[in-house]
Amino acid sequence: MSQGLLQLTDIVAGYGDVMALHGVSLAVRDGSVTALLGSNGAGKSTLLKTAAGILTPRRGEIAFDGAAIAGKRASERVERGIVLIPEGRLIFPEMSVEENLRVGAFAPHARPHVARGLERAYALFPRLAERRRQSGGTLSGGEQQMLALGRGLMAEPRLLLLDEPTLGLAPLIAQSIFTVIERLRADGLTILLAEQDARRTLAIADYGYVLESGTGVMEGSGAELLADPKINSAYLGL
Amino acid sequence: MIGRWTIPLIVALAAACGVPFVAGDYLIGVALSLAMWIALTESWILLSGLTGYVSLGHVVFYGLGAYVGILLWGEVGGVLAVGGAGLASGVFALAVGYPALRVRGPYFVMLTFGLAEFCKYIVIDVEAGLGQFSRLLLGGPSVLQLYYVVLGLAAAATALTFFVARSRLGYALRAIRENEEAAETVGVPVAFCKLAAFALSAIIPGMVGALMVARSSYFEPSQVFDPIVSFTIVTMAIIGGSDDARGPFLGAALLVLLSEILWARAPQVYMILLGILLIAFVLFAPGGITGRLLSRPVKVKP
Repeated sequence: MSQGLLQLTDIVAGYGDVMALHGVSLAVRDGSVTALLGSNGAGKSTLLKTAAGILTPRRGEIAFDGAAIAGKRASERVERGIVLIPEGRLIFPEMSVEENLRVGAFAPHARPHVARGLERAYALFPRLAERRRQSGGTLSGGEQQMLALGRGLMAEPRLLLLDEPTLGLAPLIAQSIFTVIERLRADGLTILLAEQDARRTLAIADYGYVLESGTGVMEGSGAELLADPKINSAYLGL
Repeated sequence: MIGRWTIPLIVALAAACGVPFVAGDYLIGVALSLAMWIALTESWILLSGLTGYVSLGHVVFYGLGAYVGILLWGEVGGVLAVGGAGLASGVFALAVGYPALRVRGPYFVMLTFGLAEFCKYIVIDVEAGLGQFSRLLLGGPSVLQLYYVVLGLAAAATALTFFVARSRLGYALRAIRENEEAAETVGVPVAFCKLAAFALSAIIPGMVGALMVARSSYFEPSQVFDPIVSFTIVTMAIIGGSDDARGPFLGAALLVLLSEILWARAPQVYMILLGILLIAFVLFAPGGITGRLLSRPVKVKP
């Protein structure tokens, strides 16, 4: 596999003494949507947090655009263009929708582009524009997910790490989130997408990895994985 | 915001400067105490109001400043002693802040309380080891001089909190208060911002501590590290409103007034009233006086 925009090599990481990843390697090619599949507790969130710098790996290397970044703090990685949209829509509940978005442009490289970012976020999610004065905590689950995505885009990312963006959302809203992901890819953004909805994820993914109990067990193109009988039985319920 | 509050603040400051011309020593003493509490509470708000990391040990900076102040005053003079006290408290905050600010919520509350008590007993032990149980500071400045300096520090603490709250750092601190993990994902250097707020909140209490030792003309560790000081700061901030720089004026004014009226005549009544006020505000007006009475509907910008 060719060198990716993001390259994780032999990552061991976890919480305290409990390791959630036992030597995982993964590459995300520039301009691709890469899927990260696996059941609850397989290590998907841990992997994304490690890539974003929220979690420091016990072992392993992380390279972004050819530079080693394992020792860099989360804020420095955002400055380089790695932005995590965490699971559970961690928005700022007391701030208005617009303030939430503005905080998203906190990184120095994103600050000059606030106006453009707001415009783009409101174009992607007209619902947010309607609710721009409302406080974030009063939004519905789907709207909060839109806000979390919009806020992440304000940081002018090159690589978006999406952690379960459709978790707990109504099917129609989930579908609209996938539509947005495809639009972002079309705009040239590179995306690493952790999802439980394997079918829909693989349908839009260029490449995919399957994690089980903190170990990579399978990888391949989206079409290959979709056609794989093991994937079918384990994640698609066929 | 600046426009609405600049003029009342300048008027208040001018009035405060004029106090000594019309008041006797007793009232100057009361005004000094008011200025001291405003300085302490403003600096507390810079940390706890803005980040949501509630410190119950703010007295530690005051006490350390008092100790450094009494040690230096006779050697290098008042100005350098007060500056050294502020510097020492700030450096202390930088040293303990990184580990302390890794715990949140009730753990941070208990940690700061414990840290202040720990420092108190360290100083008591050091002093006992040196054969000193209290120290005297003779030939210090007059109450009038102290009043103007502490008034200046109160103004400085207010301005610092006001401008930090509206700065990029204040924005980051607010994001941390609302959701620290989310703040980290948008690129806020969380650890650095918290440490900066902690150190900035420590300097002025350190200077005030040194000045108040000069006011009482003696130093006694269990007095300058008294946890009641921390409790009073928190109470003033809660009653006044801890969300911005205006709160402490009202909280401190109310409590200093109550204390002057009641403390000498009926100290028990004062403490009971303090407790009732605190409970009432927490239950019915958690935003404090500023949050409850002065808040206006959010203006919608076009």
